[in-house]
Formats: sequence, structure tokens, C-alpha cells
Amino acid sequence: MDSEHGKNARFGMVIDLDRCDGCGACMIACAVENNVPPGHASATERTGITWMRVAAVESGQEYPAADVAFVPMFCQQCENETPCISVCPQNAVEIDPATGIVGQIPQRCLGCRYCMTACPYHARYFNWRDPAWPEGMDRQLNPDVSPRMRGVAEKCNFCHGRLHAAKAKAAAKGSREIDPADYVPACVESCFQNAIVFGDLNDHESEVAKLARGADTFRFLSRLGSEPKVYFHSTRPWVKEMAESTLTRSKKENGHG
Amino acid sequence: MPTHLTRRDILKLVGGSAVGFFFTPVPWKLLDDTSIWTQNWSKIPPLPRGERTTRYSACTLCPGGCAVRAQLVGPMPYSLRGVSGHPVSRGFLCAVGLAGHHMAFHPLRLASPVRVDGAGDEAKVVPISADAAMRMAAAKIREGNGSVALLDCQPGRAVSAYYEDLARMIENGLYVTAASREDSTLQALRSMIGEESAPLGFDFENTSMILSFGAPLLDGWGSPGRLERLLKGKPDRSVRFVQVEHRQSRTALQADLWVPVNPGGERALALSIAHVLLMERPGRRTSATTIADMASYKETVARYTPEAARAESGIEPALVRQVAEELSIAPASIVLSGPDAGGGPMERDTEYAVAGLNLLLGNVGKKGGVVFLHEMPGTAGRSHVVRDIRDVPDHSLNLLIIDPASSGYAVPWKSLERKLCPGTGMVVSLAATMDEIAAHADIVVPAPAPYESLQDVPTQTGASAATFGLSTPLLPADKRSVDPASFVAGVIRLAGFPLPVPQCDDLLKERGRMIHAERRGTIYQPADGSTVRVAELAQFDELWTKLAGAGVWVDDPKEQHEPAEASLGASMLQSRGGPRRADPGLLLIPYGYKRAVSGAAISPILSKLSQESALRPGAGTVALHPVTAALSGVVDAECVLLDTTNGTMKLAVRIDRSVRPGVAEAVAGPIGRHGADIMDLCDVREDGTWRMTNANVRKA
Repeated sequence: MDSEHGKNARFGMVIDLDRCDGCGACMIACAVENNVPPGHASATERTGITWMRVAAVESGQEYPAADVAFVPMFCQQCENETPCISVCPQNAVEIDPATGIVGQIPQRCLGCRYCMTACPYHARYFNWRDPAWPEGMDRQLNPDVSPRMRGVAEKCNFCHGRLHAAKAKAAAKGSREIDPADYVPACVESCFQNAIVFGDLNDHESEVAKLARGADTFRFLSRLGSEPKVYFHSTRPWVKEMAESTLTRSKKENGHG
Repeated sequence: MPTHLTRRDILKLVGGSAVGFFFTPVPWKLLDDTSIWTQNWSKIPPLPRGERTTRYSACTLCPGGCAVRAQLVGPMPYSLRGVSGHPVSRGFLCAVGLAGHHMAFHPLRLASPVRVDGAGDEAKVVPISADAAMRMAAAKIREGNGSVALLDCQPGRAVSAYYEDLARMIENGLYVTAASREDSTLQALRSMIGEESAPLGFDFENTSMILSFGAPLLDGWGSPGRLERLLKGKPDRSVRFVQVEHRQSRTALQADLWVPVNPGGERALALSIAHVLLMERPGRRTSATTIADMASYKETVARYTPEAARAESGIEPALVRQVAEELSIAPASIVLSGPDAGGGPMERDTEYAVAGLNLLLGNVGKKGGVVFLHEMPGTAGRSHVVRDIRDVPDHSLNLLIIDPASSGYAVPWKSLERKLCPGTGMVVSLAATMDEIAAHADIVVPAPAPYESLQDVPTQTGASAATFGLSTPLLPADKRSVDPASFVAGVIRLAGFPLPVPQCDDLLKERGRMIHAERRGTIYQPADGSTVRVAELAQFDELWTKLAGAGVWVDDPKEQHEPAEASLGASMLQSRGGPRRADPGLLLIPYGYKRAVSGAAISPILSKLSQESALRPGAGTVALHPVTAALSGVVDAECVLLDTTNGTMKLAVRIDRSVRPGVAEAVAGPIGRHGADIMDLCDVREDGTWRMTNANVRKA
């Protein structure tokens, strides 16, 4: 975390696709944590905002041999030639050298949506409307996260509000190092299956770093060379093959084979 | 220096300024600011400010009783999480529960009691006072024309016992449930062993094999955290888990072995397993229980050889023998059936056929099997003798009062409507939101939303020990809502039965006093994870303070004994005759997700799961296998008409290879923007089931 002392972190995740059962708790925990509003009546898969989106991907076999993998898809926190950073005309996307987190700055965003086009993971969303909650629910917003305005793009930022809270807690103790237990994104916390492991990939002794180096761990579309910091794990060969195929949005489109 | 200013100079200055202007930051800053202004001109909600606190409570959206740790800013909760280490929920909190605090502000929240005049599109909603609602309901009781029923979908609570007492006071009064029938196996076993009021549970933690017939064990069944923790991840699992189910549910996907039985073939499969156990591998498992009707039971199962049952069950005989073999050698096993959240319960003879396997295997009264529990203090002899509304004669109810608590499972309106006296039957629904049932009621009375009032959490289905916990308020009370117990008591008072009207808190304290008097069990406190024996608490107030901090009481285990005698329900099993061949036509099979089923109101943020992603197909779609679709001449995403004898509905087709050929799967989803409720097309039979309906798909 301390960039001056050369101890930069690289926060990342390893997601066990053999454990994920598609319950969707991560999607809801993410939306509640990050003040993502409920979908408008006309919102669809293409226009809705789901920083964390779990896709049910079929193996392509027939009933009853059909297999399904649930794939949580969100900003993969690309490290190399980050596509959304390279195309943004406003410098509204930045990679924090101290954490490795790709951040979106809505106040700078002009809403050109070039980043959405560039993102190979379809992990960016656009605010087509003003953020709106039913009356009263707006008093239940997370006080640590600002709602984004109409006309800007947004995406997962590994729960930046929680990172700030962890930093503040560390600072109160006179430390510049955050306690890993204090910084756990909402999706990780809500996953009862413990399918998502989060931590500092630069800490080679951390669980996430060990898992990232483990067998049967892979990244989606690794051939692009963007070095995502989100890894996936599965022992099922068809799931690993799917990770290199075109990633599309819906279950029917994701049919393998 | 001569200063001769010509027109040319002025033009040069203006032109130069105009060009130079674009080399200054001004236009770019204006452009940037304009974009920000246009982004901000509408209302962006200000963030709440105030003191941050953490409090504990329990979710009451379904009977699962998951503990929650809430973070509040000022008086408002803004985040709910599970409580790891909790003895009931083990840290679990489902997607619906994570947004449970939103329900108080649901757009369909009721603001005042209403009377619904007329029906259908011409219905008029007229606000009335709570007193007027009570008077109208009381008048129905005084009419004495038919029965009066109190419907409780979360039996086992303190208020449930109170309702039962109230119903007893009225002539023709009935206390009924439309519970989930998650405990159908336990209900059947109680009847089989002749102990109708015996509290039973499943000792999942000590079993070595679970054979489930359709029970959604990994999709919300019982206390979800218990089974999710036990059965999580195949590699880490210590128990063999076999799921028998006609569709590839989330539970089936995660089982060690999925047995894809024909729809409706569960009974034949259970009896063919019994056949193998009794006829082909006799004596592998011994039981001390004497089976009174063994001779006639054997006569029935003799017809269900795995080969003969195959036509009905669709399962290869070798697989039947493999499952039976595994059961016979397992040191301890549990066999159970259960309903789908949207598809509803199984037929009663199927429930008996499945439950009987436990007696054949000697699972009852044994560690790792079906275990006896101590009675919940204060409920001896009655909390398990509840009448299911499907046993109430049709057209017999003059007044039906519905408690707001939900079972988390679908209750089709048609299953309630058929019980009402034609033309005169009145329905009074106590509900926090205008849900599906409330929308059909004659009078709707607003009830507190989750976390607005103190409520108790009943013992979860299948728990191996009785529990009692409190859902403490996290939100300020809504003054427009009415306490359900007080309302019902008020109605009965007005009908001429003098009785004191209690507050819900009094009923809860009374149960707490009984627990304290029994001096059994321990209390877990979520704030610090500590436990304390009830016997160590000298005063009741000490116990109440701990419970009021969202603590949970867990009873001690009971010493087990096998029942001396039992029957296997042979007469019921014989009534259907031998194996039958499956219906070759297209079957409409509804399914659902617990607490997010047809008729239920859920947080608007749940749009992320169905509307804004494809994780859970929403209402308004029908899934077909490619072969089925081809036979019907329809293609993916096409709008089709789904016909049953109950009507026609326009739906969007979803081609899905994981769907069984010959089946149309449709989600009995929550109230959605599509407005299509697949339950309207389903046959609700006299036995209270609606699992399958003959259907036809055609192009719109």
C-alpha cells in the first residue's frame, strides 16, 4: 500500500466456479453496497446496471447431461494496456498504482461510452437515467458511496468505499498498512459458498496469491494480454475452454460448443 | 507613436480573438462544466448522515430465520449481512434477505386499510378505517354462515398458538396453515408412528447419506445456512447427497448424484427402492420398529420392481438398485421429500412412499436419521397438529383471515378461492404490501413490514433441536400499520367473544417465560458470539435481555429411541394401483425461488437478478428444450401462446438444453413488470397440488 516505500499492493480475486451456485447474493450485496439503483421498468440486460453480473453458462450438452457453470463477471481490473483507460478522452479512468485498482471518476466522464465499447468483458455500464430509488429507500443509501449521475459510465471498483474505510481505520491506529480483514468487498463478504477469495496478489503468502498460482486457475480472454487481476478456478475442462471463447452476455449466447 | 485605428485593425482584433479563444481553456472548461451541469440538474439523492451503529436482528421474510447484522446510519439500516457462527443460519443471508430492509419502502406498501368493491378490472379500492375493517369481519363471524378460518403460513410462532386459541373460541372456527410442506416427510412419519404431536427433525450433521425427492435442500429449504454449510462444494462434502428431481434445479446441479425422474414419477421410484430393499436385499438394515401393515405394504411394492416402475419413473433399474444399495450400506441415512417453491407440494401418497423408506431403513429415532425433539415450551400437543387448508372442504369458509407471515413458497389464489362460500365468503388479508393474495382480498389491512416490529422466529423445518429467536426492530414503527394479533383479537371481541387483546410483545414474553421455566438449552448472542446455559440465568429478565439482543435459544438434544410400532400407509399407497406410464403430452411445470415466488413482493433491487441480468429467468418467459421447440415450430425469443384448460398466456420462449424434452418450464416469479402469473394457467387439484398441467405451445 505504501507507494513511497515500494510496497504497492495489487488487489485481485480468485473465483472458484465449481463452488459458485448462482444464488445471486453477490449481485444484490454489490448493488446495495455501491448505491446502484433498482432497474427502471424499461431496463433490460443491455441497459441495466449490474457491477457484478452472474451469468449461467451451459455446457452445451443435452438434458440430463447438461452442465451449468455460474460465472460472476465484473471489471477484471486489467493491468496491462487497460482497454478502458487507453480509450478514455477525459482521463476519467485511472489505475491506482498503490492498489492496482482501476477506478472510474464520474465527474470527469463525458458519457461517450468509448470505454464500454473497448471493455472485452462487457463490465461497464452507462447511466441512461437519473439514479432513482422508491421514496424512503433513498434514506437507506450507503453513506460512503456517492450515487452516480445520469450520462456517465460506471463499473466495479472493488468497493472503494470499503478501501477508504479500511485506510481510515489504519490511519487512526497510526499505520499506513491496512489490515486485510478490514478490506473485504461486499460480494466476497456475501458469498456463503466462499467461492470468492480476495486479497493482495503481491503478497505471495496470501491465499489469493497462492490460489492464483494454483492448478486449474485461469483468466478470461487471457489471449488479449490485458493481464486481468481477477482469476477463475474450475476443474471442468469445458469451463476453462469457455474462458477463451467469445464472452457474450446471456445464457443462450454462452452455449458452449 | 501614432495610434491610427482602422476598421481593418478592429476586424483583425475580433478575428484574432475569436481564433485565440479556442486556444484558451475557456471553451473546454465550459464544455466540461456543461456536461457536469446536465448530469447534475436532476435530483441526485443526498447521502444520509448520522451516527453509525451496528445492531442485530433476524430476517422474517421466510421461516428460515437467518440472523442479520445491520449497519445503521442514524435510525436507518443501510446494509444487512449474515452472522457467522450463528447456530441457526451459520452466517447465511440470501439475495432476498440482503435487501430485506427495503421492504418498508416498497412501492406497493399499504398506507391504510382498504375495502375492495367489485372484481377484476372494475374493482374499486376504498380506504377505510381499521375499526371499520374489524366491524365488517366481525359481522361475517356473527352471520354464522359457514366456517371462520385463520390462515397462518408460518406456524410454530408464539402468535400461532394464540391464533389457535382464538379459533377454538369461535363456533366453526379453524386455525389452518398453507405452510410450505417442507416438513411433509416429518408430517407423514408422525402419522405413521402414531405420534401426531411428536416434534421431529433431521440429524443432517451426523448422517452419511441424504436421499432427497425434490426437496430444494440447497435453494432455501429449512434453515438454508445449515444445509448450505453441510453440503457446500462436492470435494469437501462428508455426506453422500442424492437428489431425485425432474428438473435440473440448483440443488440437482450440486448433488453428488442427480436422478432425473419423470415428472410425477417420484412415488414409483420410492416404491421401487422399497422393493429392492425388501425383496432383493432383505435384512441389510434392521429396525426395532414393528410395522403393522407390512404384509399389505409388501403386496404393494411387489408390483414395483425397478423394471416395472421404469415406465413411470423413467429411471434405469441399475440406477435404482445402486441407490438402494447405497442406502442399505450407509451407516445412517435420511430420505425426505419436499415441494418446489413455485411448483408446490407433492401428492400425499408420494410423500408417504418417500417417508416410509426411513422406517424400512430404521432411520427413525436414531442418530444421523430422523430424530425426536423436546417439545417447544408452551406448545405441548398442539403446534404440530395444524390443519392444512387443502384439507378444508371446498365452499365452506365464510370468513378467511390471512396472517401476513409468509412461508416463502407459492400459495396460488385458486387454492384459497375454492374454499370460500360462493358469493358470500370474505377474505381479510393482513399484509405489508399489496401482494398477490392481498390483491384478491375483500379487505386489506396494513401490517408491519420486516424489521418494523418485534417478532419471533419459529423453529426451522427439520431442525434437530427446537429454537426460539427474536427479530428485533431496525426501523421506526409505521403508525399506519396494525398489529396482526391485536387486529384478529379485536375482530373476535367485536363478534361477541370477550377476551383481552394482547400485544405481540406479551405473547413473546410469555413464551420466553416458559423457556426460562424449563431451564433447558443455551442462548447464543450474536454481538459477541457467546453462549450461556438457560439454567445459569436466575431471573427471566436476564433471559429476555439476551433474547432482545437478537439472541437465539437452542434446545438440548433429546435422547433417541426407535418407535415400537408404525405403519407404512399401505392403504394409501394401494389406492393408486400399480405403476403408470408417464403422460406423453407437453407438461407445464412451474418452479420458483423461495421467497421470490408468485405473488410475493420483494425489494425492487432484486431486478438485478431477473430483469437486468439473465441469472434468474423472470416471469413472462417459458423455457423449452430445442426438440420441444422444434416440434412446436417456435424459435428462441419468439413470443408464443401457452394454452392450458385454464386459459392462454403470451410468453417469450427461452430455448434451454437443460430443460427436459416434453416439458415447458415457467418460473412462478415475483410480482414483475410483465404481470404474467403462470399460476393462473396451472391446474390446482383437489389435493392441493399444481405441479404439472397439460399444456400446448403455439405461435402467437
